[in-house]
Amino acid sequence: MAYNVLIVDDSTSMRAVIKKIVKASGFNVGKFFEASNGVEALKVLNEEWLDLVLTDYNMPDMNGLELVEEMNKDDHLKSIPAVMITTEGSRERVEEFMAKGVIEYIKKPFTPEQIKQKLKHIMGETEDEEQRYDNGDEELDF
Amino acid sequence: MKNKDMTTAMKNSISDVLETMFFLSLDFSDDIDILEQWDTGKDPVIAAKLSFSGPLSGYAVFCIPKKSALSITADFMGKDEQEISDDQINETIKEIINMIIGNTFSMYVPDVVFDLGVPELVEFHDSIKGLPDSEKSFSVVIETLENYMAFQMNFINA
Repeated sequence: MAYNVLIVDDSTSMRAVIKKIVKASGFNVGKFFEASNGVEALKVLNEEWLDLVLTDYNMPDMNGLELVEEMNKDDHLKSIPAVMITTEGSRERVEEFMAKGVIEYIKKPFTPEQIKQKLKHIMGETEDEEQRYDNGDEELDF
Repeated sequence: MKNKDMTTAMKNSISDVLETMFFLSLDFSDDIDILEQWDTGKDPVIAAKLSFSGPLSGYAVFCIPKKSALSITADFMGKDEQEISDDQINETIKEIINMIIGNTFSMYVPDVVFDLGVPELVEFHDSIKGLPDSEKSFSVVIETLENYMAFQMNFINA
């Protein structure tokens, strides 16, 4: 199964890097979508079929947590896993992320291997599907 | 605030960010005079500033020669330097300061929540120099194989 992924970050360079790492991880991506803040992300989410949201926390207009809270108000959107990729590292903040519906948390700076492991966990991949990821290992040195 | 602990957290954070995500080999230098050399304007310097608030409030500044910023951005994005725009350079530098500060606080006080502002570019001349005496300031000069960078945190309520 190929997953449609929405990357939300106000930095175009960070969006490009995350996209590259996700591709290199071997994760089976159907199509990438991008947004520079929560407001733009909601627009994309309401127009496209998405399987996974990777969002930064600290963004202008609507931050990542506000985005997740908005998603949780919608019966369809709340079923889409949202992952916070952020510099925020305090335990209290991470607990707040999880309490408000964020399914996983990835702290910047991150390595490609960390992204790979988190994505596998989130999408409930089984050992039988390891091969799909392993094929991407040789490209992990982005 | 323990000065030594803060400086250690800053250095560990800088190493973590620049080595993990930007593949830079770096060391720390005591050569503060490098900032005076930058002041000549010979090699343009990019400065990014980010405010923070919480139990400690203030702002941080990250300065890097444009030539190095271009090289880092190209490596980061996996492109040739000729393909990199000024906007991409600026966004990468803003991302670096964002990561360094978030990581510094995570290391210094992991149980405490800080609110980070949105990174902005500032004039080098108005940023890392001429700080009011009332502010507590910590500076780190970073030495890479190619050049120098500087990171400074300034606390208003320390």
